[in-house]
Amino acid sequence: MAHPVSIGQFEQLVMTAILSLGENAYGVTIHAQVEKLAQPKSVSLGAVYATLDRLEDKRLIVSWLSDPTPARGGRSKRHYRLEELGERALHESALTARRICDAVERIWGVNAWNQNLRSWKSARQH
Amino acid sequence: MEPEPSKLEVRPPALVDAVIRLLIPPACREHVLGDLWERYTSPRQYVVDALRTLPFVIWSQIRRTSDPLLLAMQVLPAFVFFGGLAGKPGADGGPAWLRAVIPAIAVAVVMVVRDAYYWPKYPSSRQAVLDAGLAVASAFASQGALAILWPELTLAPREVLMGGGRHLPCSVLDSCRSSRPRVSLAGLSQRQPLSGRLLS
Repeated sequence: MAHPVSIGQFEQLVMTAILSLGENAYGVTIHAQVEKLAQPKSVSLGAVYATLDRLEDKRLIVSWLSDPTPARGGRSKRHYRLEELGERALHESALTARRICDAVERIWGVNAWNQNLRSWKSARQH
Repeated sequence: MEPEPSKLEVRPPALVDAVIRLLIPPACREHVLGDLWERYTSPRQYVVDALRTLPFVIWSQIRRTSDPLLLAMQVLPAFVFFGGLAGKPGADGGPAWLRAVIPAIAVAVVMVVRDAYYWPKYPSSRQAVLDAGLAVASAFASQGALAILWPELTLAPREVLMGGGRHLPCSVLDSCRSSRPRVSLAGLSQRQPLSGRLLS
């Protein structure tokens, strides 16, 4: 079986946002969801568009235009959904992330997730 | 019946909207403008939002539409015609290639940006000729800018005119070369090759 396409961290965020939004995945909602996932970092809308274009070129996602809506000045939304190749790539990335989490947890313990890293590290040192 | 005041308040100013509309590449204009409109809270926020978004969408469109091979086919003739291979040093002893590389870069930049703004149809033969003129004009403009900023790197007026004259027919041929989309994507996001000018 062919290896899934490798994707970067920001691409993972965008694809996770598309997956979690389902049929409501378009520019504004994807950006909002990516901002939530990327906290505390802020994310620009333009970076999300550039990533969506790149993912589409890699055939990991597919897009289509909806009907124009008055709330958007009579302009259409471009909706996105994951392609099968994209689902596989995201699945592979999520498995890798899980393995990282497991490895970190084995060394630092489950408390590593309960507080922010700096305060957790200083607590460990004392 | 008059529209509700709240409905009027959430519209971006028409002039600002028209300017931003022009700046967004046509391939992504519809949904990007719609998204910006949806996020609108005030004219200032709208402009800041658009200015922060524009570089990414333009760059993304350039990435999608540019082709290094075709770009080289446009830039190399410009470099040659403006004396890049002449081997003769300039009046101040500077290398000829350095003087020729500047109009060639100007042609490259203008063509790459121009390609990013083509949508949705392939350009007509008239547009292809206009593009060739634009390429030569950009080379001339680069010389004009250099004359002000860095006069020692400008080509002699005769070299500029001769180079432009030679480059124009070559550029027309380049622009008129038929091509087909390299990647077909769903919806409007269909990739176009750089300078893929299908004669209509």
